Amino acid sequence: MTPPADPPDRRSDDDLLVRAGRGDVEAFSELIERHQGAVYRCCWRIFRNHHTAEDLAQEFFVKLFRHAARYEPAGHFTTYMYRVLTNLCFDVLRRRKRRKVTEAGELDPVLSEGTDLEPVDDEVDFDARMRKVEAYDAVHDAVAALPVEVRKAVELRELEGLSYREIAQVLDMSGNEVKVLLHRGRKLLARALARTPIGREFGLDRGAR
Amino acid sequence: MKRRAALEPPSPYESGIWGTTERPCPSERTLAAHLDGELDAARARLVETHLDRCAACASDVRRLENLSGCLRAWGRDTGAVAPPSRLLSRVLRTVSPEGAALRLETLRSRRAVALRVAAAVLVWAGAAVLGLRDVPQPTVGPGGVDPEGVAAGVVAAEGVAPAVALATPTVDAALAPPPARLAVSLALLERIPVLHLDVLDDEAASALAATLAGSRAAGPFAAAAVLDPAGSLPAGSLPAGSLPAGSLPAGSLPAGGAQDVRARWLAERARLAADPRTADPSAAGFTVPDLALPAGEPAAAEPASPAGGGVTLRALPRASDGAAPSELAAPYDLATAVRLDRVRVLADAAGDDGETFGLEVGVGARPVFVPAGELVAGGVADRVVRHGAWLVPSDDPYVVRLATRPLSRVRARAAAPPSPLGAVAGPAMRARLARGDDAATLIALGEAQLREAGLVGPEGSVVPSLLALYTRDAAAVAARAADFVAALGPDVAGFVATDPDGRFQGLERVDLPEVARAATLARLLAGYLAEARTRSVADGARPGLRGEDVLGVLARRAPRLVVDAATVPATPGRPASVPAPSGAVRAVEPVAGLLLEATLAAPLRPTWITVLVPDDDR
Repeated sequence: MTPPADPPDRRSDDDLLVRAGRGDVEAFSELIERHQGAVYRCCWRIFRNHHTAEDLAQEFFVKLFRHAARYEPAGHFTTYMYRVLTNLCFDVLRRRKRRKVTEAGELDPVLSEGTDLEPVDDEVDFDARMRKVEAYDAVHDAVAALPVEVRKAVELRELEGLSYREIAQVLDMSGNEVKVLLHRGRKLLARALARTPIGREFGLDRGAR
Repeated sequence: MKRRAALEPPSPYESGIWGTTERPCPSERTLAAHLDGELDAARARLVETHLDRCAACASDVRRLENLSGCLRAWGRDTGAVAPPSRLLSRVLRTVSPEGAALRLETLRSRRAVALRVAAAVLVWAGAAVLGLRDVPQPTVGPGGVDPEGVAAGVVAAEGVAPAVALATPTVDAALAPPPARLAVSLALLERIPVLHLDVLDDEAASALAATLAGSRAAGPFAAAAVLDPAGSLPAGSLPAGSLPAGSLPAGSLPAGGAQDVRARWLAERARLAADPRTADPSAAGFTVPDLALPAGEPAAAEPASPAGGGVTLRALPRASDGAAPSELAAPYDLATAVRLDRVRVLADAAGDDGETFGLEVGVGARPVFVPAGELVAGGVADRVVRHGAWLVPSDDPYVVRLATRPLSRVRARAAAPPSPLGAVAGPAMRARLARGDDAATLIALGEAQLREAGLVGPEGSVVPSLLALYTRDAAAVAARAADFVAALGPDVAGFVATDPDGRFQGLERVDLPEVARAATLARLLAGYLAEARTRSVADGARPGLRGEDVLGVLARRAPRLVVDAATVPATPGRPASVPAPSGAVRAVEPVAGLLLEATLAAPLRPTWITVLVPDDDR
C-alpha cells in the first residue's frame, strides 16, 4: 500500500515521529490522530474485544513514542507501524493462547466471549444483526485458526491492503515466502469457510480445482 | 513452447512456468498474484489472455475473488469500529511527562553541545593566537545530562510507576515512611489512582521487583503484583520472598483453580435458573416494607411484577422549591460529610433492635448520598445500610434513622465508635444483601473472593479482610470512580461492566437528574472497583446472566430501563392520598436478576430514595 502523497503543508509521518523522538508531544498527538483508527481496528480484528484493542492501541503508541528517538526516517512509516503493531498483538495473542492451554483447559464458551452490547430497535433488526454477527464470527474464527505467520500475511494483504513487498518488509521475509504464506492461507480459509453460511453466500463451496 | 526469454523480465513475485504442454495453466499462486496486482504488465496480459480461454482457471480466479470479497466484507464491518475518543488522551497522559523530560534533555544536550563547541572554538582561537597547535580537540560528551538529576529521576519513576500494582491499607499508610527512592513513584501512584497497570517490558518488571524488594523493610505494601500486558502474573517476575505476607504471589490460583471457578460458576447459574425469583429477570420483584421515615412525605408503593413484588417509594424533603437540578450542589458521600462535620453519627440513636442508626444532618449546602449497601463499621455494629437515602441540605439540623442489616460475626468484634466507611458493595455482594442472605453466606462469598485474590490473612482474620476489601483505599477508589464517571460526561446513564478480557460482569443503569445520576453511578462503580481486586486472571464471569441475555434485555425489554411514566403499571393498592408517580427509575441487576426501582415524586427533582429489599422483608 503506497501512502498517499502528503499535501505541501502537511508534515510527513516520518517528520512527526522524528519530532516526537525529541519530545514534541504535539507532533506525536498529530501522528496518533492520523493512525489511531487503523491501529485500533487492527487490534480489534485480532482480539474482537474493545478493551483489549484499546489497551493494546495505547501500549502500541506509548511504545512508538519511547522508541521514536531511535527511528530512522526512510519514508516507510506505515511499514514500520505495522511491524511493531503486528509483533505486539501477536505476542499478546500467543501468550494468551499459552495461558489458556496451561491454566484453563477447556473453557466454557460463555466465559471467553466478548461483550459488545448494542441496543437494537426491534426483533427483525435483532435477528438480522445476529445473523450478521454469526456470519462474521465464522470469518473471524477461520482467520483466527490460521497459523500465526499465515494469518499476519493474510490480514496485511486482504484487510490492510499492503503489497507483497510491504508485507515482506513487515514480516521480515522474502517476497516469495509471502506469496507462499498467502497461498496457504487462502487455501485454508476457503476450505474452512466453504462449510459456513457466509462461505456458501460467497460461493466458496463450489469445488476447487 | 513459448520461451520466457522473449517476455519482459518476470516480476520478483512471479514464479513458475506455464503455457507448456506439461503445465498448460498458471499456478494458483500466479493467479492470486495477478488478482493482487503483483504481476508485471507483460505477465498480467498473458494471464488475462489465458483466462479468456480457460474456464477452469477463470473459475479459480472467481473463487479467489469471492474469498477476497468475503474477507473484505468482514474487514468493512470492522471498518465501522472506531477507537474511543479517550484513546488519544490516555496515550498523551502517559507520554506527556516523558516528552517534557525528553525536551529538557534535548535542550540540555544542545546547550551542552553549544557550550562545548563554543569552548572548543575559544580554545582553538586562543591556541591559534598563542601558536599552540597541539591542543587536543575536545570531544562532545553524551549531552551533559546528570543521570541523577530531577528530570531523569522523574522519567525513571514514571517508567516504573505505570508498571506496579499496589494495594496498601491506605494511601496515607503507604506514604508515611517511604524510602527516599520510592518517594517519587509513590507520589505518582497517588496521582494515578489505579490498582494495577501493565508492565511494559521486562526491564520495568525487574526495576519494580527490585524497588519493592528494597521497600520491604519499610513495609508500606500490603500486596503487590506485577502483571504483563495480558493481565497475567508471569512466574518469576517477582523474586520469591520479596514481598511481605499477604501479597499476591505469582500464579495465585492453585492448580485446577480455573476448573473450580468454572464448576462453581455453572453450579451458581443452575441454582439461579432454578430459583423462581431469579429464573426470569423480568419477573423479579420484591415487596417493600414501610420505611421508618418522617410522616407526611409523599410516598407510593409500586408492584414490580405480576408476582406481587414491589417497592415503596418515598420522597425526601427537597432542597428548595423550584430549584433546578443543575443549581444543586454535587452531593457529598457519607464519609466526606462526616469528616467535614456535616453529618454526625449518633451512637445513642441506634435502635433497640440494633438495626438502625442515627445521623444528625447539620447545616450545609450540599446533599449527602448514602447508597444501599453502604458499610457502617465499628461501635454500634458492623452493618450495611439497607436502604439508600438522600440527606438533603437544610438550614436546621435534623435527625435521620437509617435501617441497616447486620453482619453478625463482625458485630461481635466491634468495639470502636461507629464510622461510615464510604464504600458500596459490589454486584455479587449487593445481590446477596438484597436477597437477604444470611451472614454466613455473605462471609462465604467474601472468603471465596479473598482466597482467590490471595488476600486471606492469618487464620481468623478473614472477616476483617472482607470489610477491608471495600474499605481499603476507599477514598482513592471513590475518587477514581468519580473521575471515571465525570470523564464519561454528563449524559451517561449507566455502564456495562466487563473484566479486562471483555467478559460480562454486570450492568448498571439509572435515569436520574444529573446531579444524582453521576453520584449514583460513581458509587455503583466504586463497588465494582472494590470487587475487581478479588479477581484473578483465570476467573470467569460472575454468576448471573450471560452476555446474550443482557443483549436480549436491552433489545427486547428496553422500556423497563428508561424513565417513562407509561411503563409504570397501574397500582390497584395505591393510597388515594399518594400522588401518582410521574416517572420511574428502574435498573436490572443482572447478577441475580434483581429489579431495582425508584420513582421520582416529580420529574427531574433529586428527591427520591432507592430501595433494594428482598421479599422476605414482608
